[in-house]
Amino acid sequence: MKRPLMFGIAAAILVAIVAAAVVPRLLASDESFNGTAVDPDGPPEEFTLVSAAGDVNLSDYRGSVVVMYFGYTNCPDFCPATLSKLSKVREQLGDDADDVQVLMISVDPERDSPERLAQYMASFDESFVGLTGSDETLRGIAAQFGIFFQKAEGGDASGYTVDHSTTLVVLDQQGRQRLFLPYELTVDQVSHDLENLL
Amino acid sequence: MSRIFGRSNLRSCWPILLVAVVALVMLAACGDDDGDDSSGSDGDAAIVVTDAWARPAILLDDDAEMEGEETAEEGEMDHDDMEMGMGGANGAVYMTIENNADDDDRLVAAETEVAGAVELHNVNMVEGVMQMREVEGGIEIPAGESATVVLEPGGLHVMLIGLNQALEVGDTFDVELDFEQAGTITVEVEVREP
Ligand SMILES: [Cu+2]
Repeated sequence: MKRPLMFGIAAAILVAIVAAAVVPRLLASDESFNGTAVDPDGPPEEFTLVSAAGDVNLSDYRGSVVVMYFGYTNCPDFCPATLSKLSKVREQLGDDADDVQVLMISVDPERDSPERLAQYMASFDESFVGLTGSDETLRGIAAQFGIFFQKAEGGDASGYTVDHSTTLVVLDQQGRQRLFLPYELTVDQVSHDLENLL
Repeated sequence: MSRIFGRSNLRSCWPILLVAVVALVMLAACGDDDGDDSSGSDGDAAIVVTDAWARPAILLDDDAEMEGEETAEEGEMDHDDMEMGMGGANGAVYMTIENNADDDDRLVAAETEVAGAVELHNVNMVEGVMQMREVEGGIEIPAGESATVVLEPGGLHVMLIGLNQALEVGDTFDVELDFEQAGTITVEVEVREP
């Protein structure tokens, strides 16, 4: 009678100790993502766009985690919110931020010149790059990542606005598409996901 | 073992918790007194605007030439519209509007020295797609305290089109708001990070 009881207690204590030691570690090294993970098979097609510094190929960023946003400089709300969030993410990543490249691909090539994009992006973070190209090229790239954009009627002064997806597309250091990050994610959540890819 | 530790931890913590709760209650109680700081009008006014703020924005210089030829297709938008949209950058002003009058009111227009034009906009998220639209006929401000209208990121905003000066954190500027009933109210807008 006594033996099995003692054994039972000892076993319970052991289990508790092991659980206490292992569970927090599992939670800390959380390999899961806040964003939506996508099948990394089939790297995205190469593309070439224009920055203020000249032509840019997507493959130029191999070795960095690439965060792509599709937006435009006349956008006063979601675009600055997203870009300032990403600049805070880079701050939070510290030295790891050196391996993260944020790109904004214009959904308004008519009004976004490469120079305008460069000024706009630098106002959030010196490392950010803005890219544009022909309407056709931009549509092809967006479609590849399931990003939607379309002109919409604005007021007399704004002329037109551009409806666009707000989701971020993330590629890993091998240039494979890995994640979609919805607009709602916080600085901490985005940092966590990018950290997991580094 | 870890459980006992956890329990004693809790026991030594509860006075702190109690103090925190009391402090929170006190904070909430005095919050009502100093809530409105950047008000454009006093308490008895029909329309009370509080917490007017704008995101920082830089001045974009389009003189850094741009040859639109190869990218400008898709007719529709004539060149006058394009030119106006292109000057400077755009900005957004957010605020809280309360209507203490007996009748509903409507914010129909706005004006400011810092931008070439101002429009009243709303942003909708439809399945992850951001859609920004001009609000037809202005923004309705229903009467009654419970009907406070909040202009905030991801929703309604006073859109500044073609800024003619950069908006830097800490700057302030005036915006004139035109209400159908209450007339024109000038509010001071503070530039700050959200
Ligand atoms: Cu707007």
